[in-house]
Amino acid sequence: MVGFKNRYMLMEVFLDPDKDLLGEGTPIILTQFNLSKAIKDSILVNFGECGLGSSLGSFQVKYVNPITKLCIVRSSREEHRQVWSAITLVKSIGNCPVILNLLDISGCIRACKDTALKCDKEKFEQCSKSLSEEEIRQMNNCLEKIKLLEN
Amino acid sequence: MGFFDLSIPYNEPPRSGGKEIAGGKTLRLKLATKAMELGYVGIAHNRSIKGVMSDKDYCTIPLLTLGSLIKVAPRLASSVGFHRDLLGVPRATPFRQYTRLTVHVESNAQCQSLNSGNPILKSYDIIAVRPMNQNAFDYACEKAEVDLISIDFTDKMLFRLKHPMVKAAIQRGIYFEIKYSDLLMDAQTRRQVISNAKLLVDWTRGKNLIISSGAPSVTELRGPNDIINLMCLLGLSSQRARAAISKNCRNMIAKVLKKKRFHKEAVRVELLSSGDTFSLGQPLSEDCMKWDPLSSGEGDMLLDDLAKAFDATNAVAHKSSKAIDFTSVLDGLPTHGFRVKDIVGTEPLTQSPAAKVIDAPEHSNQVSELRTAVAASSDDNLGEIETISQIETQISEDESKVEPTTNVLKEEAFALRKCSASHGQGILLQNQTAASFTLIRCTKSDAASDVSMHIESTSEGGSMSPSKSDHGISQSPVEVINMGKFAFDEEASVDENSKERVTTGPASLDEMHITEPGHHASIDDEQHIAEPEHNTSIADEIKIDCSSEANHDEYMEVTLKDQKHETGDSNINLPNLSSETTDLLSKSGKPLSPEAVVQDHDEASRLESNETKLEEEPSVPYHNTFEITMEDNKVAELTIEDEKKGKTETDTNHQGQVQSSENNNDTKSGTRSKLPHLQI
Repeated sequence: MVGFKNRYMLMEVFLDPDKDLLGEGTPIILTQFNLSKAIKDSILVNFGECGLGSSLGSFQVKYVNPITKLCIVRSSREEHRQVWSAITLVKSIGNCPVILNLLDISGCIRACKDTALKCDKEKFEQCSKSLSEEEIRQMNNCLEKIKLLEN
Repeated sequence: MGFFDLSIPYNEPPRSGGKEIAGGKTLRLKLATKAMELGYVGIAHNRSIKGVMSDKDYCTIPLLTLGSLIKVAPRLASSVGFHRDLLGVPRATPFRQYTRLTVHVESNAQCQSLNSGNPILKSYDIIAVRPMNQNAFDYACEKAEVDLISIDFTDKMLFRLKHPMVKAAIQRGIYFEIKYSDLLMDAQTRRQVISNAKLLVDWTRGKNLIISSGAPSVTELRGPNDIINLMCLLGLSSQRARAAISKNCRNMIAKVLKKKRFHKEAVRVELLSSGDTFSLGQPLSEDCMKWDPLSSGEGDMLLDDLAKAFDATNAVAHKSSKAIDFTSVLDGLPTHGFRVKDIVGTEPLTQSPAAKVIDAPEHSNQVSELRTAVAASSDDNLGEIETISQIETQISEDESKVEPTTNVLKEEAFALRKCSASHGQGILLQNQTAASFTLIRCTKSDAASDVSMHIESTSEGGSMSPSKSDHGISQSPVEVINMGKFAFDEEASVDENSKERVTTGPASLDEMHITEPGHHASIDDEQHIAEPEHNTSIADEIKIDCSSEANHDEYMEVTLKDQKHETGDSNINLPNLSSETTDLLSKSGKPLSPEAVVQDHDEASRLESNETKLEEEPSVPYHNTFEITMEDNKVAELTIEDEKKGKTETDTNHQGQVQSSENNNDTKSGTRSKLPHLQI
């Protein structure tokens, strides 16, 4: 019935792990754009033009939370392993070295949403001590955004 | 199942300097922190040596301490907990550190130094060899006494991997290592690694393969799930890749630590200080409660301590002897790989092992409580066990699962000493010097018993045994060994016993693996004994149980007879079955009344007098039908059959007689199938 089968990968990003071990600083701001670019570059290098072409159809970075460094990436079910490997092989976003760590992978956006909410809240608690007002507001916005995530 | 990262580089400080370079130390710290945060439960500090080893090469790797980790990453505990939850790793798993040495081997002379007698090698936990040419590789696969063969795949390979060599190495129990950080370097390296390592992956098919990071910096670390997925690029299926990063590592470490701490296949004899009077009321040894097959001693770190250390505002966590938190342990019981640490309560193992004594008084209190309770009531379900932990084969077979025995056993009023083939456990002995020594036997715990999971039991002697609770099979009866009867005077018999146990250990292990689920072997033999259908085995058991250990000859006899009775019906090969294990397997879960016990005593004695060693089919436990294999006198058979009270149908009697006339296995299996299912 549903034509497109997707996989939604919930990941966390460790920015500049050498200098900042617990991810409490913000050397660069994560956006959907720069994360997506980094992943696509990685697919191109590792899997070539064909790999990039076949995975580009369903590939999308659905959600990024720059404060807790959480993101949701969608890819097609056939290509999700390759995309996942490419994500693991990402070494830097822009100039900043990164570690991308997958937390959860699910087949539907709803399950991913639930886990994302949970993880976001936990991560928020972990780093809530050092956040400013502005950031807290931003954080709440992001949580709202998760709830509005749709296919 | 925890994930391990067995290759965190350690740079040896220059010979002239005495301290490690500051940069190096922080790097190690960062790597360890990151690894811990990503969800790994163990790391190994890897030091490389080229050329000839000298005296200066003894292990001087300082293990990282809790305090240093906290300084680097104060809020580590919550993050670690978060990741562990996501991975399915229990939060209470301690974070372990091991030391590893990688020897670059080029010439034959260097190869020769890789033997088990080399003291430098002994100072490290894990020994890895990196062959640099074909000869070295061949030698490493076939003869060298190493744990790990680590090949550099990044550049053009200096030698060829030969399939028979790889097979030989696997048969010897040597693991191969692939470093995944090479894949993260640059495109050229990646190309080489994939092309070179693919061959190894194909030939080993994931068996005896270990994946580690070897990350030169923190940026090259990746989480366990990511690694599992990355390995499919190399052609490894995700299930095998997961095993390569968790189960294989665990097995190797367990093997390595066993080799390091105990001598070959011997058991550790614990020296009982001559001043103490031995009594069952005391825990036999503080050490045996702390048995942890993977423990890295002082390198272990617990998440609780991390959290506490952080809460205490960067103060280093100090030793806290907590009371045993039963409920949390109960909740957190895993199906495999249970550690005594969980039960015993966590004591920061960053303290010296001598500090572990603190836990002992706690337990001894509980133990003594238990004992008084037992003595008080005959209906008490508590039993006392002493534990023997066995090493090597059992554990390695069983994936080094060590579980605390539940000392609490259902037990009727009498205290028969039962021999239990320790399943996966053996005898824990220490260096024998003095005349008095204790033989602690680890006995299987009855998983089926209600009390099996009671923590109180665990406090008792820290006994442990792997319990197949996941199969719902109760384990063999626990045997209470009265040390008084033991060979205080005869060391010889004890040794023989231990040997006996050791040999039967593996067999029993096999059996337990194969035992059908749902078959319950109650802990108490009495329970089985009262069963009218169980005759011979019970008799045997009682006979054996009643006799002191010096009668190990009987064991041998029974064992031999058991061997004859292998039935074709059960597809299980039961070599070297000790009678105990047969008995255990044949037990049902019915509780016995003391009267039945007494009755069985009579039966036993009668049987003994007949000198008929009737054995139950070893396969009986695997079916619910009761089958009798008679070897000798029909007289004995009849007497036994008289015992049965209406539970066995007349058919069985006839069948049994028919069976007795033929010792043919096939026929037995044929008749067996006709036997109706008996309610046992």
